[in-house]
Amino acid sequence: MPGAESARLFIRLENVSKTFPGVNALTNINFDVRGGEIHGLIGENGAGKSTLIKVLAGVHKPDPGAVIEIDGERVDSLTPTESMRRGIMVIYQDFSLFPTLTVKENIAFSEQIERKRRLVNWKEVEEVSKRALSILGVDIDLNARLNTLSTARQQLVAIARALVYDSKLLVMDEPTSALSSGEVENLFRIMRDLRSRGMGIIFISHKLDELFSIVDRMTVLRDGMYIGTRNAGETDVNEIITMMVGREIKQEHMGGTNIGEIVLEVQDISKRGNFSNVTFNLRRGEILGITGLVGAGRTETVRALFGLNPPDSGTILLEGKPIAPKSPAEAQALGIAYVPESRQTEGLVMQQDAESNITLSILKTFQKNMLIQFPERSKRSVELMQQLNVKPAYPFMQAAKFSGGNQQKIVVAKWLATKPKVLIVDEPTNGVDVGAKTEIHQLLRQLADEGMAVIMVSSELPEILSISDRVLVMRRGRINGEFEAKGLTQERIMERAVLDTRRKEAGA
Amino acid sequence: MNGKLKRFVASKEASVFLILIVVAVAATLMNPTFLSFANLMDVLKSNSVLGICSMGMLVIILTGGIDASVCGQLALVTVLTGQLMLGTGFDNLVVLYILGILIGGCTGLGNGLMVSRLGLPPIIATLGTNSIVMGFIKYYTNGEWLNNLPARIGNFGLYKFFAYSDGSGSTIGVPVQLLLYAVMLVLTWFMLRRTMLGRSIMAMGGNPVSAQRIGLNTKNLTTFAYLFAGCMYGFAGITYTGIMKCVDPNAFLGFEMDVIGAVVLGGALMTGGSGSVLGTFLGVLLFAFISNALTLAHISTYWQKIIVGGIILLAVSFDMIKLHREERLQTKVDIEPKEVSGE
Repeated sequence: MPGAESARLFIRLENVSKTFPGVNALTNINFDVRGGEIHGLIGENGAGKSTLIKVLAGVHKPDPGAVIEIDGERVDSLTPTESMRRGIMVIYQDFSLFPTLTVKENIAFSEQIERKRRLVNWKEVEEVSKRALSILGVDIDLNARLNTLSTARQQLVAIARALVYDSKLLVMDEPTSALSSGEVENLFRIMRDLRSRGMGIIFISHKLDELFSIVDRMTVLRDGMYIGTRNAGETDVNEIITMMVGREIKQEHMGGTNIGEIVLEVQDISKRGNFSNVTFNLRRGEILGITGLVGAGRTETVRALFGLNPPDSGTILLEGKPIAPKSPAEAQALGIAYVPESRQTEGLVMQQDAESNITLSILKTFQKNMLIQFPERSKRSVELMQQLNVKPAYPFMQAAKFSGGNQQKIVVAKWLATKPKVLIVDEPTNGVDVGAKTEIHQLLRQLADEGMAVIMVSSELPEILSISDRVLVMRRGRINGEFEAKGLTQERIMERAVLDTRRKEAGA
Repeated sequence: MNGKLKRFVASKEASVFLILIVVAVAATLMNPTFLSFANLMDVLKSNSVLGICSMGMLVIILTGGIDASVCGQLALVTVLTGQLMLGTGFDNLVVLYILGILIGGCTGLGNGLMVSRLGLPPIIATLGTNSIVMGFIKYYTNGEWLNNLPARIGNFGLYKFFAYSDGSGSTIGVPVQLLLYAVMLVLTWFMLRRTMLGRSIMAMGGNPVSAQRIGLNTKNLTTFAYLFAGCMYGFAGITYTGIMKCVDPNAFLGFEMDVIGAVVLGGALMTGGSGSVLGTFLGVLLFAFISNALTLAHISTYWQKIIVGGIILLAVSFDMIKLHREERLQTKVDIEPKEVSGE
């Protein structure tokens, strides 16, 4: 009986597209999940996994022409409540729980709403939550406040809540990203148990070794497109990686022409919960690409160099001298500059004009008798805007009114003004159009060739491959591979980003 | 039972309770009158208005909001009802209470709609309301007191249960205000603890995004919180007139700080979602005890403000320090364990 049950198709999506202004987030996706299977959903950052999940949850409405079938019945408009009513429960990465309420209430709350209760029936809440936790086979104090629990236990509460709903399809977005390996084992035990009860599970993860150990089938997305679905037994890691990165596009490699002596040496730096045993060096005239998946500790590592996230241990040498910046001001004085990931919140003062932004970090140099020399300041900012080809080169235009690419150039200009020895850029072309992207690449290359040492953190593999001289791949807080960029392929990077290569080598 | 006790010991309410005991013991040592029944009843009577208002403020703070218009709302209720009594001699207490609740409800609803529908920051919306109402009150009353109210309202304010004369001419008993306060405590407790409405407010205050995801109407919940608070202020306003037997349009200047202070002393978090009726009750008691103890010790009431202010800052700093510590220790990257040795 469970066998017959499990073979049945629970949900089928056909021809699902989702367009946001200017972006095709999903293009003609076909996807299905059976009852009683664990279905892996894989793709690089920005491949469209989250958008697809939100379509399933009823949060995003797909473009016209899409077919959604649940339990063999065609559903025309899937709203969040409709989706839940039909048994689809999404456990988001943040769990969507209520931190100040008790465990039992978190588990049974939505069910009480469902039953249209006006008064809380505490007895019912207690019974319902007890039952859900006993199905999971875990023992959690029902009366504990949620925010006193560990992440792993909060996740179990989120799963228990889904069980209360009598869900038929559980969607788990990166459920293992915050768990220790023991906790992951426990989670997998529960997932297998739920599968044997006929529940379908969509399991989103970046960690291929984990996926292969638990899923029945897996579907790969890339750039919002459906690439393919494979049975776990009939494929291997290599095929999946190739599907994830796609066919190699021949890319112009812009290598450095003027690589000199070592400027920065990072020796075995670690910080609890951020990164561990990170060692690398950086030469003058070189662009060092640091890549890996989101959450691999790349940003945390470079922020350590800029004094925003000081390491617990290890040494950093700048031109042979040990440094330990504890604040951005110290790092700036040492000659380190950092262009952060999000220019809107960290890089720019959006309400102020370009000139104020560009000269913000060097305002002191325009000071004479405690007054700012505005003509000097204007001159310098116009120079920098012209040098970086900011369009339009209006120093008095509000930063918020420039396009994404030009905003990014303004942030770079701000840091160039400090004449740094080491320039760190974090996702420099995030949300920038294609033309501006090339310009930023050329700019970074030019700065390096003029003698600057550049570290570029990026998730975009083509970008990493086209302008880096060397590439570091991080995985789970550690450096899991270092390569010369010339002749390197996306597959080899992806392999190091998603697989624990050390363990594989040790086992072989 | 044992688990319940343990949780209480670890709770914020327990620490407020502990401080309360310390203050009470110190006050009794300074002046034994403090612990007398008559004094305690007096303290509760004069702080019942603070207590009733703090129930409204608690619900607003649970949503993550704040109300700076307590002063204006109370002044509006007391002045309008006072004018009615003075002008027509009207003295039906039940109708007066209903009117007070309606007037407070209107201003509260206005606040709620501005916060939830227009998305105004609560502090701005309520400051605006306060300014408008206070301006109107000044124009309307010229700052003058309303005296000679009907005798019935004053007599009601003096009413005591289980009253007996202590021989020296004064009557001892449980003041009617204590009963009114108790009713509001139970009502608010019931609303927050037993109704889905109250639980939804708690849930939304803790995590508004999740609340929307499970289909709660967060706009209506927020509006309700301000409406509820307005009604509480209305109820408190009539009670206050009963105690004072007159209306002073400026009686409540700065009163919002006392109300917010009592709620915060009671352990509620300004970020929302966390706070309890019991805690707030203890907070009001603490506030009342400190001021009474200082009065009995013949210390200027200015000191009272300084000490209460200091305790509030300490309490909030403590929460913030704890939060920062937790944030710093939070794991951002799940670091892979060290390589297994022996390759």
